[in-house]
Amino acid sequence: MCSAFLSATMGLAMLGSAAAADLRVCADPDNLPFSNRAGDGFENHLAELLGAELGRTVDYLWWSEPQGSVVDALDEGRCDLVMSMLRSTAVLNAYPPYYRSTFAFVTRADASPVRSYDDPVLRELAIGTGFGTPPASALAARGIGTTVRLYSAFVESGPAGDRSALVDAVAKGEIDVAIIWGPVAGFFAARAPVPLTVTPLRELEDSSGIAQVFDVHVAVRLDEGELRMEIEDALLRRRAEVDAILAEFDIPRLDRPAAP
Amino acid sequence: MSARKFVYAVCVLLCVLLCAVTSSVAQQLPAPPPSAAPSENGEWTMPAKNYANTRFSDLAEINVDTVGALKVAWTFSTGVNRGQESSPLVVGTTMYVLAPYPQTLYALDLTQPGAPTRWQYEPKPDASAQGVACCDVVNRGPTFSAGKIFFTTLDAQTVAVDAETGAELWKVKLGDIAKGETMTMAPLVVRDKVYVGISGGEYGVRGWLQALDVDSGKTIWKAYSTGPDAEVLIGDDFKPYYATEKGKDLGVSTWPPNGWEQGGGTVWGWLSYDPDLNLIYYGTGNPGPWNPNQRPGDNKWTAGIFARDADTGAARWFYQIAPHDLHDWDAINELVLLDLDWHGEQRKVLVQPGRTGLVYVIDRVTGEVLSAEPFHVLTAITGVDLSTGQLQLVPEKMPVENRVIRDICPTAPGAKDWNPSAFSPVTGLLYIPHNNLCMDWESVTTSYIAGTPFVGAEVRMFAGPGGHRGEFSAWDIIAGKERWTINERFPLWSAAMATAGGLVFYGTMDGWFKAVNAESGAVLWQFKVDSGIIGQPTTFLGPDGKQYIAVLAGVGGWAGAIVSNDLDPRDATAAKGFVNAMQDLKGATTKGGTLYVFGLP
Repeated sequence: MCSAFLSATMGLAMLGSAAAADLRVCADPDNLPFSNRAGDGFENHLAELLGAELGRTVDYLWWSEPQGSVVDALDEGRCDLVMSMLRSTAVLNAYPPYYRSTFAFVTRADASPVRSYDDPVLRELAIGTGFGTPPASALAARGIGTTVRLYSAFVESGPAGDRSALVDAVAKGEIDVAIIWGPVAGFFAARAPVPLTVTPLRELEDSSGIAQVFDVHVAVRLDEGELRMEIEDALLRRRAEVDAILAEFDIPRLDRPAAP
Repeated sequence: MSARKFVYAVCVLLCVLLCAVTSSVAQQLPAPPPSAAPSENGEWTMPAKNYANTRFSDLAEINVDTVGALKVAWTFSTGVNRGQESSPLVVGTTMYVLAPYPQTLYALDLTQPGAPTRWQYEPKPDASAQGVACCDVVNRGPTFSAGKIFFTTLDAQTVAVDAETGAELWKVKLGDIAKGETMTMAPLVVRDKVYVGISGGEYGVRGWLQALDVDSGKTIWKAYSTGPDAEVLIGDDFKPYYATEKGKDLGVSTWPPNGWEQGGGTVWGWLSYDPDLNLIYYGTGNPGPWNPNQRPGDNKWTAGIFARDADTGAARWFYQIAPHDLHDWDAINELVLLDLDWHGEQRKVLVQPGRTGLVYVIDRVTGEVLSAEPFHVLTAITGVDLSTGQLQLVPEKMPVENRVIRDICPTAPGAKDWNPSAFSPVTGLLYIPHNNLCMDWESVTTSYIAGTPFVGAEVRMFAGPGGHRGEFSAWDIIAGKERWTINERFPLWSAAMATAGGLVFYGTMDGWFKAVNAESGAVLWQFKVDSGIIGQPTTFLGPDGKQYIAVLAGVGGWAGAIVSNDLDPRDATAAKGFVNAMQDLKGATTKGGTLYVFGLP
């Protein structure tokens, strides 16, 4: 009886510790608007929300490695989830995606806005976009190149401020238009020292067949189907707050936020 | 004539006859220029053995007759269980062993039983460099010259260490890991200059080669692989063979505007040096980004071979192996310098078994391609048009955005990656460790920074015809044909080494170290080490006057990352598609980091 009691107690204790296990989130320590070490990014806010809903304390693994290697950290069990991930066969994506965005044209408010890759004015403007991104493909497919300046995706992910390099270049008049991933464009343009216009692309994909619109999911390890379902349920229950956080960070969205 | 005199005369006559036969045979066989491959002294002072990159030793105590008795003499742990691509060096009575990141350099005392450590030197590279390395945290070896050991570090530094004491003489930072710049190559030293290049072609790095002062590490010249002629060091001396390499500032005009600023063309492979011509030779890496649609044009001077003046860096010629590269076909593989009788004409050539699947024989004076014959199954190319030098592509196999292209052979790591071949002047054959792989290719948009779209490629590699993934081939350079081949289960990621003992050595990714008959390809000896081999075997004469063979075991690198980085075999696209072809490697070997030294009892 004594041993039965003991094992029951131990079982309860183990259950207790499992329930209280930290929710380990892989996040970039210095990559606003997504995340930073101080917890200022929308991913930080969403992770806290998720942690509260699941009854687990959020613990970060700071991870700034580019090129999808965050998947290695997931696979090695060093973290349980990644807050922002495109659809991928290397992970389990939580559904539905919590936002859909696209690339956006950022121009100065006193200039006329650009709306499409096929806008003839693009051939005359000084354009900045990210190295290796879908806009770079779209421009190359149109033979637009004479005025394009490619910014290293590496630098964009680098130390503080660098990620805003393209928006800064527009604000300073170094380039006429920047074509940037929506969340980055929206966040930095709204906080720029001069008024800027953010015009999200209208096309789902551009006419040369290169996808420009993407869904962003929370992602977990391939064998964590149960955790994925818990996350899906939690995000559904807190949908209004998720939308509020995204709005607070000025993220241009192509999906419809929940009704207030 | 006395009987004694008669015997002598017969001997002389015999010798005249024999020597004539021998020398006429020797005339037909290719041989490295003597100035680039000096006579044997029992040491191994640079990874490629000599400036000609033959990886051939004249030592012959271990030979076809004795190799059967070869035994482990002693071992040493590098303390790091990651990919060991380096080469053990021997200078005098000291062996130098360089570990992968964090790259401790060990000096081992060969005069003492078990070769205890004399000293160790720790460069302490920045830990964040590990996250920037594309393909495991490897290094391809230190090099020795005039009392100093030189090597590069993952965080893009080059160091010089006193070979006697292990004291750091200088350390210079040449790249920025925040921009994706790393260093992995083995330096080459010519007189007062040490040559090093930058890695990181996957991250939009602009490639270069620098000559540093051996005494201070100060930059003497720097030659970029892209950009304006002035920065590529292209001037009046530049006389490329083919019309497509001629014109002003092609390093700018063959790119979309500014594309060259992040155009790749990194320098992370092997350098050769011809002392008679005073030229250094090396290949440049693939252009960036990987997605070819974003960089219309030939993308000079990536994926090709440069000849440069060793003193000034001035380019002499260039040949682009893969204009507007579609497949990640760096041209960084070894360039073996040989002099040979090319169909009745004496030519100075360099030979490169390339990622394209072709063995290139190129006149090293002019840059003319003499031949380019396949050593791997080809579906994506048909060969080279020798009149124009142009690679002949198969249009249906060209990767395009948003379409799956199946059965592209060879693959992204190519028919053969960085791991160098060996040349034996005894047999006249080149021994090529290589892959037998094909791939399916699909361009996709993936997360670069988490949640940020980036155009990449989803690649799945698999075994080529025959179902085996590696081959070790003896190649007849003049005939442009394979003499014999050994099929291997896994891709070969180790270097080859040849000796005057009639042997060729190489290792497999499942951990077999093999000695084969250089003439016939018969496996004469093999030993199972503790982990897969991706290193460079070397041989030397110990202080006891006996010959030894050394090799590092420890699987990893791009091909072995599934083991060294614990990648999930379910993710077929991990390690840029290599994992799909390596799913069974985890069952065949485990991580390691051990130096093995073999000798005769």
